[in-house]
Amino acid sequence: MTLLITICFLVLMISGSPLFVVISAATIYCFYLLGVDLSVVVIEMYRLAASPMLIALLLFAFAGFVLAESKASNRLVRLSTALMGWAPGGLAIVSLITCAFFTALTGASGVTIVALGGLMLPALISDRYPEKFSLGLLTTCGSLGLLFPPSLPLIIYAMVADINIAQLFLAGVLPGIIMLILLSLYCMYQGIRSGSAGAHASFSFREIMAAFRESVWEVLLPVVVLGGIFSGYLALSEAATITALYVLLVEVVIQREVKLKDLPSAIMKTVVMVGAIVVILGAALAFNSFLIDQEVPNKILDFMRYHVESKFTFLIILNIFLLGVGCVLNIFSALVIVVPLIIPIAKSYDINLLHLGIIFLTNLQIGYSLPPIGMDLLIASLRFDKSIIYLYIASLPFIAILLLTLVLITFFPSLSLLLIK
Amino acid sequence: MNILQDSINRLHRWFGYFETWIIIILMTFVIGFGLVQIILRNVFSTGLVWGDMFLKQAVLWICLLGAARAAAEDKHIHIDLLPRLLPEKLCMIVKIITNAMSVIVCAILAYSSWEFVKNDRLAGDMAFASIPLWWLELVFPFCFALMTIRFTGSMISALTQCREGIGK
Repeated sequence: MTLLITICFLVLMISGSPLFVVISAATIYCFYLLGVDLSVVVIEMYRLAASPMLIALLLFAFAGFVLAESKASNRLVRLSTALMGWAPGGLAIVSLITCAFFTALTGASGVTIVALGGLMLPALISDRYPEKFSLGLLTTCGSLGLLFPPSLPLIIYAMVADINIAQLFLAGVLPGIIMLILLSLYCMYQGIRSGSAGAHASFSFREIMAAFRESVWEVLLPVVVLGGIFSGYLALSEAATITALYVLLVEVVIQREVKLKDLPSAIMKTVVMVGAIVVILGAALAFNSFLIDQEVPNKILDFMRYHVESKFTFLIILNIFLLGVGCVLNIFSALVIVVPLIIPIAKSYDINLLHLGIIFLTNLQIGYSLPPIGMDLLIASLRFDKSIIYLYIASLPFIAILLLTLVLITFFPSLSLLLIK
Repeated sequence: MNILQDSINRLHRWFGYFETWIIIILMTFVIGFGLVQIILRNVFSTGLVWGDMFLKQAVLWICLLGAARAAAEDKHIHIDLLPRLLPEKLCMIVKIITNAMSVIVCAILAYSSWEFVKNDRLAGDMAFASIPLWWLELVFPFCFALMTIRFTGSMISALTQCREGIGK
C-alpha cells in the first residue's frame, strides 16, 4: 500500500504538477495518517519568514533581475575582451568569466544563457571556434558561477543547513576559481587548435581603460556585496538591501538603461520566482519534519553505517547520488529536499558542512547540463534552436572537466576550507 | 454565458492590477524601510524595535502573493517529463488530473491555514502597535484560496480544450 502511494506521488511529480503541490500532498497524507494537525505546513512557511535570509533571497534575486534587464552583460563582455581577448582561447575565456560573474549575480535561473549566449555565440563562431565547441561552452556556462557569492543556491543551502552564510561564501571561492582555471586551459587548447588564438583583439591598454570606465559600476558590485558582509558592518539581509539599491542606482540613475516603467515587470518576475521557491521550501521543511519524526534519516544512517565503512566510499556514493538528483530535480527543490536528509549522515562521517555544501552545489551545477531535464540544456535548446541531444554531446568535454573539478573538490576538503581559517 | 464570461474577465484584469500594485508597494517599502533601519543602526546606533517584525511580515506577504501569482502565470516549479513523452491527447488528460490535484491540495492548505489563524486569534498576540498578529496572518488562507481558484481556472480551461479536441 505504502509502495503504491509512493509510486502515485512519484508519477504526479514527473507529470507536471507543481512540486510544492506534490510535496504538500505527501506531507498532508503522512500527517493525516499520524493524526497531526495539518497546519504544520503553514507553520513551517511561517518559520521560514522569520529567517533573515528570506529577505536576502528576495533582494539579491531582485538585483539580479534588474541587472538582467540592463546592458550590463554587454559592458562586461567588452571589459573581459579587452583584458583577455588577445590570449590564446581568449574569447572563450571571456565567455567563461563573464558567465560566471553574471550567474553569481543573477542566480542560475537561465538568464545567463539568454542574456550572454546570444551575444557570445556569433562572436565565438566568427573567431573561428567550431560551432559544437561554442555551443557546448555556452550551454555549460549557463550555471557556471554558482559557487561565487552571492548566488541564490548558496544562500538556500545555508538556510536549509543552518550554517553561517559568510563562511559558505568564502568556501566557494577557491573551488570556483579552480573550475574556471581548468575550463580556461581547455579553451586555450581549443583556441590554439582551431587557429583562433588571439585573433579577436590585440592587447590595448587604452581599450582596457575605456572598457573599465564603462563598466566600473558593475565591477564594483562584488566589492559592495562582500565588503558589506565581511567588514561586519552589514548583516546579510542588509547587504542584500544595499545591493538592490546599488543596482537600482547604477542601472536606473547612472546608466539609465532600465527605465522606471520597466521596474514593475522586474519586481513581478522576482516575486513570482521567490514565491515559487518559498512554497516549495515550506512544504519540503514540513515533509522533513515528518521524516525526522519517523527517524528516516537515522534508518538511512544505520543502513549506510552497516554497508559503507570509509568516508572515502561514502563521498563517492554521495556524488553519484547527487549527480542523479541534479539531473532530475530543479536546483532549489533538490537543495530543500535532499540537504536535510544528507546532513546527519554526512556529520556521522565527519564531513564539514561547508565542504558538503560546496560538493552539493558543484554536483547540482553539473546536473544542469545533464539529460533528461538539465535546465541549461532546455534553455540553450530554446535559445540556439538546436536539439537537446546535440547540445548534450557538445557539452560532454566540458562536463568531463567539471567532473574532474568535482573529484578535486570532494577529496581535497582543504580547497573549500582553506580561506575560512 | 457571454456576460458572465465578460464580467469574470474584467474582474480578473482588475484584480491583476490590484495585486501587482500591492506587491510593488510592499517591495518598495521593504527596500526603503531596510535602508532606514541600516542608517539608524550604523549611524545613530538605534533602531525601531518593531522594525524587524514589520519587514519580516512584509517579506512573507510578498512571497505568498508571489506564489499565488505564480499559479496564475503557470510559473510554479514543476517537472514535465511525462507530458514530453505522451501523445497530445493524453497530455490534456494528465493536465486535468494534475490541476485537480493542485486544487485539492491548495484547498486543504487554505482550510488548515484558516484554522491556524483562528487559533492565533484566540491567543490574541499583537504584531506591532495595535495591530493583532492574526490580521497579518490572514495572508495565508487568502493566498492559498487564490491559488485554489486559479488552479480551478486552469483545470476548467484544460477541460474545455480537451472537449473541443475530441469534438473535432
